[in-house]
Amino acid sequence: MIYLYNRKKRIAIILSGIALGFFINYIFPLGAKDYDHQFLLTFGYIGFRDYPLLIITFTKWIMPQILIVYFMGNYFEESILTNLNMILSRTNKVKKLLMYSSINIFIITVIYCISLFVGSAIYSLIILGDFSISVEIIQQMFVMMLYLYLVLLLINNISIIIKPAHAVFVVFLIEVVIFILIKLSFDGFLNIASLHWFIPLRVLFYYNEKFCINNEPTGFLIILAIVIIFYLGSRIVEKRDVL
Amino acid sequence: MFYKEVFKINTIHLNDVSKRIKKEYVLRNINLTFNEGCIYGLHGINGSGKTMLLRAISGLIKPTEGTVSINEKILHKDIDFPESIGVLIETPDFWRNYTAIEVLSSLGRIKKIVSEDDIINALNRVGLEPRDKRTIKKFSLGMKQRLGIAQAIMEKPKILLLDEPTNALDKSGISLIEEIIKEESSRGTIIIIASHNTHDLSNCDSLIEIENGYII
Repeated sequence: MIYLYNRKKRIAIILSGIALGFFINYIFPLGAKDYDHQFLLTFGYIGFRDYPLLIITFTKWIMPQILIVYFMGNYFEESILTNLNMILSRTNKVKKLLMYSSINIFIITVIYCISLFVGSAIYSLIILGDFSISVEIIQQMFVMMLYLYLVLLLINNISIIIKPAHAVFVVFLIEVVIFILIKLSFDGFLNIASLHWFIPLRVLFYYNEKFCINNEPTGFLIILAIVIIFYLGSRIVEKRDVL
Repeated sequence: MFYKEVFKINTIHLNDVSKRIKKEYVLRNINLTFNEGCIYGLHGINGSGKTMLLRAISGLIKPTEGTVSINEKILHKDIDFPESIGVLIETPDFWRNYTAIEVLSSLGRIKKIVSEDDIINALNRVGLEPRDKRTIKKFSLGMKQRLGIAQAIMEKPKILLLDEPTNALDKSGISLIEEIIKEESSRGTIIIIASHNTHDLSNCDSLIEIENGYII
Protein backbone atom coordinates (compact mmCIF):
# COMPACT_ATOMS: atom_id res chain seq x y z
CA MET A 1 0.00 0.00 0.00
CA ILE A 2 0.97 3.61 -0.41
CA TYR A 3 3.25 4.84 2.32
CA LEU A 4 4.74 8.28 2.00
CA TYR A 5 8.17 7.89 3.47
CA ASN A 6 9.70 11.26 3.90
CA ARG A 7 12.57 11.33 6.35
CA LYS A 8 13.10 15.10 6.18
CA LYS A 9 9.47 15.76 7.03
CA ARG A 10 9.53 13.34 9.93
CA ILE A 11 12.67 14.94 11.37
CA ALA A 12 11.07 18.38 10.93
CA ILE A 13 7.98 17.17 12.83
CA ILE A 14 10.09 15.81 15.71
CA LEU A 15 12.29 18.90 16.01
CA SER A 16 9.46 21.40 15.72
CA GLY A 17 7.42 19.37 18.23
CA ILE A 18 10.25 19.52 20.77
CA ALA A 19 10.80 23.24 20.09
CA LEU A 20 7.10 24.03 20.45
CA GLY A 21 6.82 21.97 23.65
CA PHE A 22 9.68 24.00 25.13
CA PHE A 23 8.93 27.51 23.87
CA ILE A 24 5.18 27.43 24.46
CA ASN A 25 6.01 27.15 28.17
CA TYR A 26 8.88 29.60 27.97
CA ILE A 27 6.86 32.35 26.25
CA PHE A 28 3.65 31.90 28.26
CA PRO A 29 4.61 30.67 31.75
CA LEU A 30 1.50 30.33 33.89
CA GLY A 31 3.16 29.64 37.21
CA ALA A 32 3.27 25.86 37.26
CA LYS A 33 4.68 24.09 40.32
CA ASP A 34 5.65 20.73 38.86
CA TYR A 35 5.54 18.85 35.55
CA ASP A 36 2.00 17.51 36.07
CA HIS A 37 0.69 20.98 36.77
CA GLN A 38 2.69 22.46 33.91
CA PHE A 39 1.32 19.86 31.48
CA LEU A 40 -2.26 20.69 32.42
CA LEU A 41 -1.63 24.43 32.19
CA THR A 42 0.02 24.04 28.80
CA PHE A 43 -2.07 21.46 27.01
CA GLY A 44 -5.11 21.05 29.19
CA TYR A 45 -6.23 24.44 30.42
CA ILE A 46 -8.44 27.06 28.89
CA GLY A 47 -9.02 29.99 31.23
CA PHE A 48 -12.46 31.46 30.75
CA ARG A 49 -12.17 33.94 33.62
CA ASP A 50 -11.15 36.90 31.45
CA TYR A 51 -10.25 37.52 27.83
CA PRO A 52 -6.44 37.99 28.16
CA LEU A 53 -6.21 34.65 29.98
CA LEU A 54 -8.56 33.04 27.47
CA ILE A 55 -6.47 34.26 24.53
CA ILE A 56 -3.18 33.07 26.06
CA THR A 57 -4.49 29.66 27.10
CA PHE A 58 -6.37 29.17 23.85
CA THR A 59 -3.18 30.01 21.93
CA LYS A 60 -1.26 27.45 23.99
CA TRP A 61 -3.99 24.91 23.33
CA ILE A 62 -4.32 25.51 19.58
CA MET A 63 -0.63 25.89 18.66
CA PRO A 64 0.17 22.13 18.77
CA GLN A 65 -2.81 21.57 16.47
CA ILE A 66 -1.74 24.22 13.99
CA LEU A 67 1.77 22.79 13.78
CA ILE A 68 0.75 19.19 13.11
CA VAL A 69 -1.98 20.30 10.70
CA TYR A 70 0.68 22.29 8.81
CA PHE A 71 2.67 19.10 8.30
CA MET A 72 -0.07 16.51 7.95
CA GLY A 73 -3.28 18.37 7.04
CA ASN A 74 -2.98 17.48 3.36
CA TYR A 75 -1.77 13.90 3.82
CA PHE A 76 -4.76 12.27 2.10
CA GLU A 77 -4.48 14.68 -0.80
CA GLU A 78 -0.73 14.24 -1.08
CA SER A 79 -0.72 10.45 -0.76
CA ILE A 80 -4.00 9.36 -2.34
CA LEU A 81 -6.27 11.98 -3.85
CA THR A 82 -3.93 13.53 -6.43
CA ASN A 83 -3.08 10.08 -7.76
CA LEU A 84 -6.44 8.45 -7.24
CA ASN A 85 -6.90 7.27 -10.83
CA MET A 86 -3.54 5.46 -10.80
CA ILE A 87 -4.29 3.92 -7.41
CA LEU A 88 -7.88 2.91 -8.11
CA SER A 89 -6.87 1.28 -11.39
CA ARG A 90 -4.79 -1.08 -9.21
CA THR A 91 -7.05 -1.74 -6.25
CA ASN A 92 -10.69 -1.46 -5.32
CA LYS A 93 -9.98 -1.85 -1.63
CA VAL A 94 -10.65 1.77 -0.79
CA LYS A 95 -11.30 1.09 2.90
CA LYS A 96 -7.97 -0.70 3.25
CA LEU A 97 -6.22 2.10 1.37
CA LEU A 98 -7.67 4.79 3.64
CA MET A 99 -7.00 2.66 6.70
CA TYR A 100 -3.30 2.44 5.85
CA SER A 101 -3.12 6.19 5.34
CA SER A 102 -5.03 6.78 8.58
CA ILE A 103 -2.59 4.51 10.43
CA ASN A 104 0.30 6.49 8.94
CA ILE A 105 -1.28 9.70 10.24
CA PHE A 106 -1.71 8.08 13.66
CA ILE A 107 1.94 7.02 13.80
CA ILE A 108 3.06 10.55 12.93
CA THR A 109 0.66 11.99 15.53
CA VAL A 110 2.14 9.73 18.22
CA ILE A 111 5.69 10.72 17.23
CA TYR A 112 4.70 14.39 17.26
CA CYS A 113 2.98 14.20 20.66
CA ILE A 114 5.96 12.43 22.22
CA SER A 115 8.18 15.21 20.82
CA LEU A 116 5.87 17.85 22.32
CA PHE A 117 5.91 16.15 25.72
CA VAL A 118 9.69 15.81 25.57
CA GLY A 119 10.04 19.54 24.78
CA SER A 120 7.73 20.36 27.65
CA ALA A 121 9.64 18.00 29.97
CA ILE A 122 12.94 19.66 29.03
CA TYR A 123 11.47 23.03 30.08
CA SER A 124 10.18 21.52 33.31
CA LEU A 125 13.57 20.00 34.12
CA ILE A 126 15.47 23.21 33.39
CA ILE A 127 13.11 25.79 34.87
CA LEU A 128 11.12 23.90 37.52
CA GLY A 129 13.75 21.26 38.27
CA ASP A 130 11.03 18.62 38.29
CA PHE A 131 9.92 15.76 36.13
CA SER A 132 7.41 13.72 38.04
CA ILE A 133 4.54 12.27 36.10
CA SER A 134 1.29 10.84 37.43
CA VAL A 135 -1.04 8.23 35.93
CA GLU A 136 -3.72 10.91 35.39
CA ILE A 137 -1.34 12.95 33.29
CA ILE A 138 -0.41 9.91 31.19
CA GLN A 139 -4.15 9.39 30.60
CA GLN A 140 -4.45 13.07 29.72
CA MET A 141 -1.55 12.74 27.26
CA PHE A 142 -3.30 9.80 25.66
CA VAL A 143 -6.55 11.75 25.29
CA MET A 144 -4.67 14.73 23.85
CA MET A 145 -2.98 12.43 21.35
CA LEU A 146 -6.36 10.98 20.35
CA TYR A 147 -7.83 14.44 20.05
CA LEU A 148 -5.02 15.68 17.79
CA TYR A 149 -5.50 12.55 15.69
CA LEU A 150 -9.23 13.23 15.50
CA VAL A 151 -8.58 16.77 14.25
CA LEU A 152 -6.11 15.53 11.62
CA LEU A 153 -8.38 12.72 10.48
CA LEU A 154 -11.34 15.08 10.26
CA ILE A 155 -9.37 17.60 8.17
CA ASN A 156 -8.02 14.88 5.87
CA ASN A 157 -11.43 13.30 5.39
CA ILE A 158 -13.10 16.65 4.70
CA SER A 159 -10.34 17.27 2.13
CA ILE A 160 -11.86 14.40 0.11
CA ILE A 161 -14.72 16.79 -0.67
CA ILE A 162 -13.12 20.25 -0.47
CA LYS A 163 -9.59 21.64 -0.66
CA PRO A 164 -7.37 20.85 2.38
CA ALA A 165 -6.94 24.56 3.19
CA HIS A 166 -10.72 24.96 3.30
CA ALA A 167 -11.03 21.81 5.42
CA VAL A 168 -8.54 23.28 7.92
CA PHE A 169 -10.57 26.49 8.03
CA VAL A 170 -13.83 24.57 8.62
CA VAL A 171 -12.40 22.48 11.48
CA PHE A 172 -10.71 25.40 13.25
CA LEU A 173 -13.84 27.49 12.82
CA ILE A 174 -15.89 24.75 14.52
CA GLU A 175 -13.42 24.73 17.41
CA VAL A 176 -13.50 28.51 17.79
CA VAL A 177 -17.31 28.54 17.70
CA ILE A 178 -17.38 25.87 20.41
CA PHE A 179 -15.11 27.98 22.59
CA ILE A 180 -17.20 31.10 21.99
CA LEU A 181 -20.30 29.16 23.04
CA ILE A 182 -18.56 27.90 26.19
CA LYS A 183 -17.37 31.43 27.01
CA LEU A 184 -20.90 32.78 26.55
CA SER A 185 -22.19 29.99 28.76
CA PHE A 186 -19.47 30.74 31.34
CA ASP A 187 -20.41 34.46 31.36
CA GLY A 188 -24.08 33.62 31.76
CA PHE A 189 -25.20 34.83 28.34
CA LEU A 190 -26.18 31.35 27.27
CA ASN A 191 -28.03 28.95 29.43
CA ILE A 192 -26.36 25.76 28.27
CA ALA A 193 -24.94 24.63 31.56
CA SER A 194 -24.09 21.14 30.35
CA LEU A 195 -22.49 22.27 27.08
CA HIS A 196 -18.91 21.73 28.24
CA TRP A 197 -19.71 18.16 29.25
CA PHE A 198 -20.97 17.16 25.86
CA ILE A 199 -18.08 18.42 23.80
CA PRO A 200 -15.07 16.13 23.60
CA LEU A 201 -12.83 19.18 23.77
CA ARG A 202 -13.78 19.74 27.38
CA VAL A 203 -11.34 17.23 28.83
CA LEU A 204 -8.44 19.28 27.71
CA PHE A 205 -9.19 22.33 29.74
CA TYR A 206 -10.52 23.13 33.13
CA TYR A 207 -13.68 24.88 33.87
CA ASN A 208 -14.84 27.09 36.70
CA GLU A 209 -11.31 26.87 38.10
CA LYS A 210 -11.79 23.15 38.64
CA PHE A 211 -10.08 20.48 36.60
CA CYS A 212 -12.58 18.68 34.44
CA ILE A 213 -10.82 15.45 33.74
CA ASN A 214 -13.02 12.61 32.79
CA ASN A 215 -10.85 10.75 30.36
CA GLU A 216 -12.67 7.47 29.97
CA PRO A 217 -15.93 8.71 28.39
CA THR A 218 -14.03 11.35 26.42
CA GLY A 219 -11.53 8.85 25.09
CA PHE A 220 -14.46 6.65 24.13
CA LEU A 221 -16.25 9.57 22.43
CA ILE A 222 -13.14 10.48 20.46
CA ILE A 223 -12.56 6.86 19.36
CA LEU A 224 -16.22 6.64 18.32
CA ALA A 225 -15.86 9.88 16.33
CA ILE A 226 -12.68 8.52 14.68
CA VAL A 227 -14.50 5.33 13.61
CA ILE A 228 -17.46 7.31 12.22
CA ILE A 229 -15.19 9.72 10.32
CA PHE A 230 -13.18 6.83 8.89
CA TYR A 231 -16.36 5.04 7.77
CA LEU A 232 -17.85 8.16 6.18
CA GLY A 233 -14.56 9.04 4.46
CA SER A 234 -14.22 5.63 2.84
CA ARG A 235 -17.91 5.68 1.79
CA ILE A 236 -17.39 9.06 0.10
CA VAL A 237 -14.29 7.85 -1.78
CA GLU A 238 -16.10 4.66 -2.83
CA LYS A 239 -19.17 6.49 -4.10
CA ARG A 240 -17.69 9.61 -5.63
CA ASP A 241 -16.64 10.11 -9.24
CA VAL A 242 -12.90 10.55 -9.78
CA LEU A 243 -12.74 13.60 -12.01
CA MET B 1 -19.19 -17.53 -22.37
CA PHE B 2 -17.25 -20.75 -21.68
CA TYR B 3 -14.98 -20.03 -24.64
CA LYS B 4 -14.26 -16.54 -23.35
CA GLU B 5 -13.54 -17.77 -19.82
CA VAL B 6 -11.12 -20.43 -21.10
CA PHE B 7 -9.27 -18.29 -23.60
CA LYS B 8 -9.77 -15.02 -21.68
CA ILE B 9 -10.58 -12.93 -24.70
CA ASN B 10 -10.69 -9.29 -23.72
CA THR B 11 -13.70 -7.22 -24.62
CA ILE B 12 -15.09 -3.96 -23.39
CA HIS B 13 -18.72 -3.26 -24.11
CA LEU B 14 -20.47 0.05 -23.50
CA ASN B 15 -24.21 -0.27 -23.56
CA ASP B 16 -26.14 3.00 -23.90
CA VAL B 17 -23.80 4.82 -21.51
CA SER B 18 -24.69 8.35 -20.45
CA LYS B 19 -23.13 10.49 -17.76
CA ARG B 20 -24.58 13.63 -16.28
CA ILE B 21 -22.52 15.97 -14.09
CA LYS B 22 -24.27 18.91 -12.45
CA LYS B 23 -27.36 18.63 -14.68
CA GLU B 24 -25.22 18.59 -17.82
CA TYR B 25 -24.67 15.51 -19.96
CA VAL B 26 -21.00 14.86 -20.68
CA LEU B 27 -21.61 11.47 -22.31
CA ARG B 28 -24.78 10.54 -24.19
CA ASN B 29 -26.07 7.14 -25.27
CA ILE B 30 -22.71 5.61 -26.06
CA ASN B 31 -22.69 2.13 -27.55
CA LEU B 32 -19.23 0.78 -28.33
CA THR B 33 -17.34 -2.49 -28.32
CA PHE B 34 -13.57 -2.79 -28.00
CA ASN B 35 -11.75 -6.03 -28.79
CA GLU B 36 -8.34 -7.32 -27.80
CA GLY B 37 -5.27 -6.63 -29.88
CA CYS B 38 -6.82 -3.56 -31.49
CA ILE B 39 -5.79 0.05 -31.14
CA TYR B 40 -8.70 2.47 -30.94
CA GLY B 41 -8.38 6.18 -31.44
CA LEU B 42 -10.81 8.52 -29.75
CA HIS B 43 -10.82 11.84 -31.51
CA GLY B 44 -12.55 15.06 -30.54
CA ILE B 45 -11.95 18.64 -29.59
CA ASN B 46 -11.28 19.75 -26.00
CA GLY B 47 -14.35 19.17 -23.83
CA SER B 48 -15.96 16.74 -26.28
CA GLY B 49 -16.07 13.92 -23.69
CA LYS B 50 -12.97 11.86 -24.59
CA THR B 51 -11.51 11.85 -21.08
CA MET B 52 -14.93 11.19 -19.52
CA LEU B 53 -15.33 8.15 -21.74
CA LEU B 54 -11.94 6.83 -20.61
CA ARG B 55 -12.94 7.47 -17.00
CA ALA B 56 -16.17 5.55 -17.52
CA ILE B 57 -14.29 2.59 -19.00
CA SER B 58 -11.76 2.58 -16.16
CA GLY B 59 -14.51 2.67 -13.52
CA LEU B 60 -13.48 6.06 -12.18
CA ILE B 61 -16.94 7.50 -12.86
CA LYS B 62 -20.25 5.73 -12.58
CA PRO B 63 -22.53 6.08 -15.61
CA THR B 64 -25.81 7.84 -14.86
CA GLU B 65 -27.48 5.51 -17.37
CA GLY B 66 -26.30 2.38 -19.17
CA THR B 67 -23.56 -0.10 -18.35
CA VAL B 68 -19.88 -0.70 -19.02
CA SER B 69 -18.91 -4.36 -19.05
CA ILE B 70 -15.40 -5.78 -19.10
CA ASN B 71 -15.27 -9.41 -20.21
CA GLU B 72 -19.02 -9.57 -19.53
CA LYS B 73 -18.62 -8.36 -15.96
CA ILE B 74 -20.56 -5.17 -15.36
CA LEU B 75 -18.60 -2.32 -13.78
CA HIS B 76 -19.96 -1.05 -10.43
CA LYS B 77 -22.12 -4.17 -10.19
CA ASP B 78 -20.02 -7.30 -10.66
CA ILE B 79 -16.69 -5.51 -10.29
CA ASP B 80 -15.69 -2.05 -9.03
CA PHE B 81 -12.78 -1.58 -11.39
CA PRO B 82 -11.37 -3.54 -14.35
CA GLU B 83 -9.07 -6.29 -13.10
CA SER B 84 -6.15 -5.53 -15.41
CA ILE B 85 -5.91 -1.98 -16.64
CA GLY B 86 -3.23 0.65 -17.19
CA VAL B 87 -4.41 4.23 -17.13
CA LEU B 88 -2.89 7.54 -18.09
CA ILE B 89 -5.47 10.25 -17.70
CA GLU B 90 -4.03 13.74 -18.05
CA THR B 91 -0.45 14.34 -16.92
CA PRO B 92 -0.29 12.90 -13.39
CA ASP B 93 1.13 14.78 -10.41
CA PHE B 94 2.76 11.84 -8.60
CA TRP B 95 4.44 12.19 -5.22
CA ARG B 96 6.66 15.20 -5.49
CA ASN B 97 9.37 14.08 -3.07
CA TYR B 98 9.87 10.68 -4.64
CA THR B 99 12.22 9.62 -7.41
CA ALA B 100 10.77 7.94 -10.52
CA ILE B 101 11.70 4.46 -9.36
CA GLU B 102 10.23 5.11 -5.90
CA VAL B 103 6.94 6.23 -7.47
CA LEU B 104 6.69 3.09 -9.58
CA SER B 105 7.72 0.87 -6.66
CA SER B 106 5.03 2.44 -4.46
CA LEU B 107 2.38 1.91 -7.12
CA GLY B 108 3.72 -1.59 -7.79
CA ARG B 109 3.32 -2.51 -4.11
CA ILE B 110 -0.47 -2.17 -4.44
CA LYS B 111 -0.93 -5.18 -6.73
CA LYS B 112 2.41 -6.84 -6.04
CA ILE B 113 2.71 -8.33 -9.51
CA VAL B 114 5.75 -6.40 -10.75
CA SER B 115 9.36 -7.03 -9.88
CA GLU B 116 12.08 -4.39 -9.66
CA ASP B 117 13.30 -5.57 -13.07
CA ASP B 118 9.84 -4.91 -14.56
CA ILE B 119 9.93 -1.40 -13.13
CA ILE B 120 13.43 -0.72 -14.46
CA ASN B 121 12.36 -2.12 -17.82
CA ALA B 122 9.28 0.15 -17.91
CA LEU B 123 11.44 3.20 -17.16
CA ASN B 124 13.94 2.24 -19.85
CA ARG B 125 11.13 1.75 -22.38
CA VAL B 126 9.90 5.32 -21.91
CA GLY B 127 13.44 6.71 -22.01
CA LEU B 128 13.83 7.55 -18.32
CA GLU B 129 16.98 6.71 -16.41
CA PRO B 130 16.11 4.29 -13.55
CA ARG B 131 19.06 5.45 -11.44
CA ASP B 132 18.08 9.12 -11.71
CA LYS B 133 18.12 10.52 -8.15
CA ARG B 134 16.07 13.60 -9.00
CA THR B 135 12.69 13.82 -7.31
CA ILE B 136 9.47 14.39 -9.27
CA LYS B 137 9.36 18.08 -8.33
CA LYS B 138 12.45 18.54 -10.49
CA PHE B 139 10.90 16.68 -13.44
CA SER B 140 9.80 18.51 -16.57
CA LEU B 141 6.25 18.03 -17.90
CA GLY B 142 7.58 15.69 -20.60
CA MET B 143 9.39 13.54 -18.03
CA LYS B 144 6.23 13.32 -15.93
CA GLN B 145 4.33 12.25 -19.03
CA ARG B 146 6.90 9.51 -19.73
CA LEU B 147 6.64 8.35 -16.13
CA GLY B 148 2.86 8.34 -16.45
CA ILE B 149 3.15 6.02 -19.43
CA ALA B 150 5.67 3.83 -17.58
CA GLN B 151 3.24 3.34 -14.67
CA ALA B 152 0.45 2.49 -17.11
CA ILE B 153 2.42 -0.24 -18.89
CA MET B 154 4.60 -1.67 -16.12
CA GLU B 155 2.08 -4.30 -14.99
CA LYS B 156 1.43 -5.50 -18.57
CA PRO B 157 -2.28 -4.68 -18.41
CA LYS B 158 -4.91 -6.21 -20.69
CA ILE B 159 -6.51 -2.81 -21.19
CA LEU B 160 -4.49 0.34 -21.76
CA LEU B 161 -6.15 3.76 -21.72
CA LEU B 162 -4.03 6.69 -22.79
CA ASP B 163 -5.35 10.23 -22.67
CA GLU B 164 -3.32 12.62 -24.84
CA PRO B 165 -0.20 10.41 -24.45
CA THR B 166 2.06 12.66 -26.52
CA ASN B 167 1.36 15.76 -24.43
CA ALA B 168 4.57 17.68 -23.73
CA LEU B 169 6.70 15.03 -25.45
CA ASP B 170 9.49 15.80 -27.90
CA LYS B 171 9.94 13.96 -31.22
CA SER B 172 12.02 11.15 -29.70
CA GLY B 173 9.45 10.75 -26.94
CA ILE B 174 6.61 10.50 -29.46
CA SER B 175 8.51 7.80 -31.43
CA LEU B 176 9.10 5.85 -28.21
CA ILE B 177 5.40 6.00 -27.31
CA GLU B 178 4.38 4.85 -30.82
CA GLU B 179 6.76 1.92 -30.44
CA ILE B 180 5.37 1.04 -27.00
CA ILE B 181 1.79 1.15 -28.30
CA LYS B 182 2.68 -1.28 -31.11
CA GLU B 183 4.42 -3.64 -28.67
CA GLU B 184 1.54 -3.57 -26.20
CA SER B 185 -0.96 -4.21 -28.98
CA SER B 186 1.00 -7.25 -30.16
CA ARG B 187 0.53 -8.69 -26.65
CA GLY B 188 -3.23 -8.62 -27.22
CA THR B 189 -3.92 -5.52 -25.15
CA ILE B 190 -6.97 -3.40 -25.90
CA ILE B 191 -5.54 0.08 -26.40
CA ILE B 192 -7.69 3.20 -26.45
CA ILE B 193 -5.96 6.48 -27.17
CA ALA B 194 -7.78 9.77 -26.74
CA SER B 195 -6.42 12.79 -28.54
CA HIS B 196 -7.52 16.02 -30.19
CA ASN B 197 -4.65 15.58 -32.64
CA THR B 198 -5.34 13.23 -35.58
CA HIS B 199 -1.61 12.71 -36.11
CA ASP B 200 -1.41 10.93 -32.70
CA LEU B 201 -4.08 8.50 -33.90
CA SER B 202 -2.56 7.66 -37.28
CA ASN B 203 -1.56 4.14 -36.20
CA CYS B 204 -4.97 3.24 -34.82
CA ASP B 205 -6.98 0.34 -36.25
CA SER B 206 -10.25 2.14 -35.65
CA LEU B 207 -11.07 5.81 -35.22
CA ILE B 208 -14.00 6.98 -33.11
CA GLU B 209 -15.17 10.55 -33.37
CA ILE B 210 -16.74 12.15 -30.30
CA GLU B 211 -18.51 15.50 -30.07
CA ASN B 212 -20.51 16.98 -27.18
CA GLY B 213 -20.58 13.57 -25.53
CA TYR B 214 -22.06 11.85 -28.61
CA ILE B 215 -20.29 9.32 -30.82
CA ILE B 216 -20.67 10.58 -34.38
